[in-house]
Amino acid sequence: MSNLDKDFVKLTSENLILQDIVNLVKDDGAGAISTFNGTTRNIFKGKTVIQLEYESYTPMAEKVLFNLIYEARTKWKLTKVAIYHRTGIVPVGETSVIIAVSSVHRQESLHAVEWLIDQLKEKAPIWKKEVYNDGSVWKENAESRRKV
Amino acid sequence: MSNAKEITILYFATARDATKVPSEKISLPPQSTSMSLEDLTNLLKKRHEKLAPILDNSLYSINMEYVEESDYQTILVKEGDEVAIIPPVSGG
Repeated sequence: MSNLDKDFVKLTSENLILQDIVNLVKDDGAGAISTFNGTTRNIFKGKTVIQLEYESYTPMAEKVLFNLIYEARTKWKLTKVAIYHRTGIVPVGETSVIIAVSSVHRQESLHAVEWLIDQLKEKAPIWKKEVYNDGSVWKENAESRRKV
Repeated sequence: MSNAKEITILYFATARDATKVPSEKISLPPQSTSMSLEDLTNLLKKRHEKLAPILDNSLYSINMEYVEESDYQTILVKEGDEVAIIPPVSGG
């Protein structure tokens, strides 16, 4: 399913740097690069979050993300696509996810970025735990696929 | 070394907190080479009391493919399969 030199997916415990991900999707034929940069928040319903921990079913998450890129390519004409997601402990204020898409014209990549982050939040087997002063909670995305 | 035919179960997030293990091997019933997902669910609920309410709210994947809930009675888990409990996700 993966498009070797055009699709980039990675779950990593390393810091995500926007410029590095943008560089992956740069292409002389692409007039647009659209990005989404997700950042961890410090407050949830008045509680102070001191730390976040991401856990993933990494091989399946990478497979799901490659499949989403494949599906996105059936909807829009995209040049290159990169999806990087942090795992492990992510301090408040740091980037947890970056999506970067290049395309010849801007509409395609703008639409694809929004669709990809929505789909990631629904389908990628990745979980976030918020740690407070007085405990911790596994979060659930409103978009998450679940039993009906 | 056991000759029992086994499947691997993976637990994540709330499911792992409930079982206290990230994964375990489950032996298929004697003389069988598969079991339905419904039977597996009942077996896991008996094995881990705290997992029961989480299973009711989680999805399954088999070999990294989501299983539709409507298929639970018909889909068979076979020897060597990797089954994951997928609680509601929170990536992003």
